[in-house]
Amino acid sequence: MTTDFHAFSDDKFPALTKNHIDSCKYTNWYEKLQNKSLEKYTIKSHILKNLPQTFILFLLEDGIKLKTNTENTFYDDNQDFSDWSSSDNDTSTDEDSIKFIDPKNEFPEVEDFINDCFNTKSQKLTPRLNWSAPKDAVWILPYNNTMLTYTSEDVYLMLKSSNYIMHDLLYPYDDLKEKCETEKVNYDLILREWIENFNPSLEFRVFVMHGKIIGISQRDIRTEYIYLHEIKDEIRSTVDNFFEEIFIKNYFEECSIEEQNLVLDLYVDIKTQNLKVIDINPFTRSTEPLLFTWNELLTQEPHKKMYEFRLGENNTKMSSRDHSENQVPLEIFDASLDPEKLRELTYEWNRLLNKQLKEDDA
Amino acid sequence: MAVDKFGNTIDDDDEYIEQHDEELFEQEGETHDETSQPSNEKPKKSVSFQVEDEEDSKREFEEGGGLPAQPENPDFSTLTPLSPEIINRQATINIGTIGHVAHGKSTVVRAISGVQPVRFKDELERNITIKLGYANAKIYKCPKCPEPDCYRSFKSDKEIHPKCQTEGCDGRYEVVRHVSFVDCPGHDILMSTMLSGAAVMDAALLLIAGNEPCPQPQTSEHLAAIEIMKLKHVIILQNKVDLMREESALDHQKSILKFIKGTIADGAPIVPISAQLKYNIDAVNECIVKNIPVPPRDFNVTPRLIVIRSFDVNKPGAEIRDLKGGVAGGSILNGVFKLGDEIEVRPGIVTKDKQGKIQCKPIFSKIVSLFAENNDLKFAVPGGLIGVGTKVDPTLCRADRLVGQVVGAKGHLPSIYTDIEINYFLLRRLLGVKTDGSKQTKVRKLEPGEVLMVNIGSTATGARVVAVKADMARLQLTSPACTEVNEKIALSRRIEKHWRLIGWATIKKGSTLEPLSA
Repeated sequence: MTTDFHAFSDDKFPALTKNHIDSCKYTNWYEKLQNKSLEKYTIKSHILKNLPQTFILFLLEDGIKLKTNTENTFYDDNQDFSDWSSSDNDTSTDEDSIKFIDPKNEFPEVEDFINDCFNTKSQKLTPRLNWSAPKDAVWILPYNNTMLTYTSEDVYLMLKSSNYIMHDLLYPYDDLKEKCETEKVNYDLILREWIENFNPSLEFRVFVMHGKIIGISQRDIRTEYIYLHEIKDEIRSTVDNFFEEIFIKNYFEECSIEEQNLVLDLYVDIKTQNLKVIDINPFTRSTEPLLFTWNELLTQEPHKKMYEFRLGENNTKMSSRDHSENQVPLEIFDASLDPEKLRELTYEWNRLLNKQLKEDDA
Repeated sequence: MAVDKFGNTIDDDDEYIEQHDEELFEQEGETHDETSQPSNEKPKKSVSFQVEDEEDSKREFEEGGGLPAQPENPDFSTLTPLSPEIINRQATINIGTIGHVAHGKSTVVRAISGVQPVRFKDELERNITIKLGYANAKIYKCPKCPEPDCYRSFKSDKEIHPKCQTEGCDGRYEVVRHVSFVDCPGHDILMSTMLSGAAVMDAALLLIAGNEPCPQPQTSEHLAAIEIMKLKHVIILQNKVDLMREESALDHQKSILKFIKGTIADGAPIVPISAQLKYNIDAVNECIVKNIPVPPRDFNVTPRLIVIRSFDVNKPGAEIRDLKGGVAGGSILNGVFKLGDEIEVRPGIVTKDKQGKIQCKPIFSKIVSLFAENNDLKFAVPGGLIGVGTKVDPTLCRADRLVGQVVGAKGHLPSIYTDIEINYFLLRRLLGVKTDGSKQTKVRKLEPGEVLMVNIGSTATGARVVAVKADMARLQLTSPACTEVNEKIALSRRIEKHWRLIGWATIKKGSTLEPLSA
């Protein structure tokens, strides 16, 4: 394994266009596959197009202040742990305090759409926006680190807590050379139906450049699944077949060879003949290269006979949890990288600790 | 055997590793030509040579005593973190490595452990998810050779008595320590150290580049990091001495001595090394043995482990009778886990009932396997990362579903809290933002109804503020958490598109959830 921490210029990437990024919007590729009667390769999704600006602003604004309809979920009959009651509340006199958001009033179409999906389509849905799913925010809901949601409130909490969703809203075109306005982007809310028994070992990321696969990486990079070594060749040929026979013909119709670039996330279960396109990502630095580095992918010999297919290893070597950098305050994450910030953090922390000690003494 | 040209796998073959070091050396040079990739220079090996190689190393492994099985039911009150029954197979001392990446941090760890600990990404990539890794190493001593030549380190799965590598010595090494290196500080470790106020690591290696003047701008901050992480035992490594003359190396050492005077690292040994050329690694090993005290561990307290990953190893579509239970990985905080132990995982499976009320069903199971890196164990103690094979329904362990849960002996787990009453303290302003008096950076007081992020130990959950009174507040957790009264928690609010630290609190009371019976 090489220690590959030098930067390389972006010139090795195929020219990135706004068009390419837009084509990777969930709704765009999903509908394209649907229209070609390839729905069996997609996960059934319910889409609310052109989200109202009020909803986007709600996602962007500071604080999470939702009017909740499920009141006091936990301790309806259990108030006795406290010796003061909620009527003693300090009344908030802060004049610029954020108002509570009532989805029924602020963005009724979103609220109705979500409720309708849960009521008539499926009780288990996973939300996402144009390019990203809020994978980094699963901790805010109690459902054992899955992306599952059961109510509109679940959906709002998850989207609002996610840094990946913020990336969609603020920086979708950051990799482009010319800067693009994000104000004019149409955002869609996608609710995908939950598939029971999806096995994370069968998810693969396929890197496609100039109409050819240049590498495949297991998506769950931290786990070594021994049996994958045995079926690696079968997976490779299944992916090749799908790509050559079905995907490329239907997807890249109007693209020149130079424009046939993307990063395809596939679920490949050879045993049940189940292949699904989970996501299509822009071929750009912002897309995680997983077990590769972009440098490796872009500087390999151009006429290699066989692309590399990498599998995860080292079951007990990774020390941090996936997406865990989004589960600590930004200050802690920054401090872990920048010792100057670490010092500031410690100073403030100790100051507060001392203040508390003093108050405890008093 | 075709070797992947980027060398993505580290072979046991020393020659192969050697070669990679050279590549690495070139890459770490200042003028690295990124278009030149190693391509055809690797010598082709014949298949027969490989087989012979394998047989040789197998014979050597056996002659060196192999890796004897652990005893079935040892008396744990007689065992320590230095007992051969333990350190033959598992690390018992956690060492944080601190220093600038460019100063060769990963090269040092690899020079000692033979394991590549960290996988770096191109620095410009988004989400620089620096995947930190554990790397374990066994430190050996030859009873016949003089110090420090007698010290030598190998990978975690090396036989217990390899031949001494000093020319002319017929001695055999003995395992004296088994250590686990963890890249520091790391946000997880930082968060839990700040909340618990106790060190997560037992010691630190601080890396300083010899070919740059001391103090380097980062060094004083790295010392601050050591202080924050409450690390009392520090070894300073003066790296890259191969690039300097002896005289200037000595001068440099003097300036380090001067610099650390009066700091937390005062009195720490300074070892000049070249990680790249593996020069003086034996002296580092000597320092680890002599300067890092054996951490006190009580193997008789009830065991506890926090899950940092969980997975399902079964081949899709496997027959039910062939199914293996799920695996949970994490570091053991306390006590000993043994094969066959009855365990409980809390909060377990979380669901909401029709009224939206949260319910937890703790998972009860049995330990069927234990492992640390490549070594399987019969019992596991604190130190490094441990994999625990269970009889839990494997689908419940898939995709990290158990992450953040607590594993312990059945009936000996902390309570599951759904509501907590806290004594809290808020920052006046957000940290890290210029305090030019602008309104935004001020921290607003807690408002009933808002949802915050709370970090409890090493897990995060959401919390709805139910009531506030002076410096007391009542929070309703969006996801139930295992905790205890008097534990410290951190409070963060969604501000400027991020979770920002606004204060911290102490849990004073709470209402616990009566778990559903399994």
